[in-house]
Amino acid sequence: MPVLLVLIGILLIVLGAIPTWGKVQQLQTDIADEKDRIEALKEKNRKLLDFSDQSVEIDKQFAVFDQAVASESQVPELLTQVQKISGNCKTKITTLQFSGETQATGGRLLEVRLQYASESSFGQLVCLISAVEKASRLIDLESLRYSSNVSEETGVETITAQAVLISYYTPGPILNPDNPITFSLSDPAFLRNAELLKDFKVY
Amino acid sequence: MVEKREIELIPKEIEAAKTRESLVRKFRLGTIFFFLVSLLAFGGIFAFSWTLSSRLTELEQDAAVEETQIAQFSEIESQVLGLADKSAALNKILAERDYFSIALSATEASRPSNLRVAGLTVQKDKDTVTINGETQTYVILAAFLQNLVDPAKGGVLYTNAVLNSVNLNSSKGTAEFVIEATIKKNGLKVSLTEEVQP
Repeated sequence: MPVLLVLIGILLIVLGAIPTWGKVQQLQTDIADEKDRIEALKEKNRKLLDFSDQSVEIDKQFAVFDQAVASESQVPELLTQVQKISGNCKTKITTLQFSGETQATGGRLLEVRLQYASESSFGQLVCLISAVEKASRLIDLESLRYSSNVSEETGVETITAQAVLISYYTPGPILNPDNPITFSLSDPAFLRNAELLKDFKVY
Repeated sequence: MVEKREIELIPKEIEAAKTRESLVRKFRLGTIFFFLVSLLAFGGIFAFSWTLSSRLTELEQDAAVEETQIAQFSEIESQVLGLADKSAALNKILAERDYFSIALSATEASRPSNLRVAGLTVQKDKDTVTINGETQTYVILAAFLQNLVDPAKGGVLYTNAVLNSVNLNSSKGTAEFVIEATIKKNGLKVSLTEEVQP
């Protein structure tokens, strides 16, 4: 009987108490983590509540920034915008087509490329390039090549330009309750960017 | 002496038996005590673990309530995250952008009136621009090369201009040339503070 009690006691300690103690420690860690998580969720809730009170301003700023770096659904509008810019500078588009899409390095940003070709005068080409650089929809030039031909009959110079244009878009955000909100409408970098966009022309 | 030994033998055996019995009793008590302690330890730890599990479940329920509240703001959260992404992207795009209009204006500013630039090639993140054209005389071509690196003209962008080739087109009586001009480091970039200026 005493030997049996010792055996049972040892079994209780080895198979019961020690593993349960390990579980207790894990539970204590989990509880501490969960408390931190709840605090973070409460903080996020507070921020979202603040943002919902400023929804008019958020809508307004989103519309402005969405013009510069479009959402995925607005990628096709790029063709219309490039046509408008060209039209404003009176350049005649001879080629305008999408030519691929890549992930930009770093951040949640995707690049979309356009093959562009046009005929114009040199002044019109300069106007076009300047207008692209000042357009509210951010469009970069990856390459530009032009050649000029002078008509022997009329003596008029025609510039044939070929360019690869890059525009950008951001995919829809992935919502995860555990992702904190670090953005602020009063963030100096954001305010500076909003200021920058005021100088760009909307097409 | 022999008789005395026989008389003392009996109490010693009894004493030894008593000692043994006492040891056995102590051992039994010890084992019971050990069993009770181990049972209490296991029970205590188990009860503590159960309490902690219940506490964790309560906290998980609280977290689920918070998550539900966050889900109600999903639309505003999408806009806020989108704004943050777009603002960060804007900075990156403008900081890395090459302004090709600088190359066009620097080349045009360097061009003598009777020299024709027939073509120009410029690429993002490349430090050279290829310029080809034609002129009536080599003197004008030499002036163009000088203008390209003149700080008041093309020198705002170009640091060096090398004549890659020059051919005499006898039918037109012109010299056709190809120039490779080297761009200053970040010469096609505009700082974000300059960008704000009108």
